[in-house]
Amino acid sequence: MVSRRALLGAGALLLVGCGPPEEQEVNATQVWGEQLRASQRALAAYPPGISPRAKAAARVDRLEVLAGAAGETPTATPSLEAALNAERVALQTHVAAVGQLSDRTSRETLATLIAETAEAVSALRLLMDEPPIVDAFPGQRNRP
Amino acid sequence: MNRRQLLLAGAAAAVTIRATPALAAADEGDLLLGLWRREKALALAYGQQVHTHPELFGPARRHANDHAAALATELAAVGLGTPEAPWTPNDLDAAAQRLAVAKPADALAQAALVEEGMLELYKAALPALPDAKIAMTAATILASHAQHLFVFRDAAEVT
Repeated sequence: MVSRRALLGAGALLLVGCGPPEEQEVNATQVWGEQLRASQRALAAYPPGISPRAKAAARVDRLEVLAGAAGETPTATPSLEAALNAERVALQTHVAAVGQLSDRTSRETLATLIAETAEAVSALRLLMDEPPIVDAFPGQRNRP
Repeated sequence: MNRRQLLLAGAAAAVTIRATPALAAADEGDLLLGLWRREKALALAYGQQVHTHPELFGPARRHANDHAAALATELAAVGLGTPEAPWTPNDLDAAAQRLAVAKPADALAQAALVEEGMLELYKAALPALPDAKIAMTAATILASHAQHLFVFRDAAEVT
């Protein structure tokens, strides 16, 4: 039987454009590996020399420690647009991880990652002469 | 007892009376209620200053109201209603009140300060929200405040 709380909770997520996460066993190392790959793909897409790139590199360094491995370095054709798209995906990945990891340390780390990645999205949009903020819920899947 | 104290006392009583669906929901509900209040206060404060920087504070006010609406839905999910929204700057928390009554020349700097506070508030809240769906909603709102803080700092050249 579905509880009132579960129904309303799912409704709230749908309201902000995100479906309820499926319940399954979580492998924390795997989740951090996904965060690392998303941030690595974003870093690879940054054109060299632009200001937000250094912070993106710092995020990858931190995630390498948490994921326990550097992994393969992704390749990309760098451009502001590619970096923006990749950071948007990274932000969605970090928000999704909040639903998977509930321990205090992970949530604190994810909160910082989400704040920094959201800032990177706005910074890249400014560099592209686009509105830096386009949505009240950045990081929800299927939203800008 | 002033109107603000009355409202706070009423909200606390409402939490005590209505938080029956689950024991864990009481803490989560208190936290959500606090976030909802801060978002509604922020929306009112931006409304007071929207004429000074309409291109920045107009969307910020709308987003704060959107955040409050999402939090109200989450409050319903834990069995709580939403109290009356603040009406005047006297009803606001200190940071929002400073923004609401700031001189036009100080409005952007005050907005950056209040967004900095909101970002820290959500960073502290995220580990304390046990429900995955609620935590994910809070995480996206945190992202929104990080973006507003960045934009206001950029505009005010605070950094």
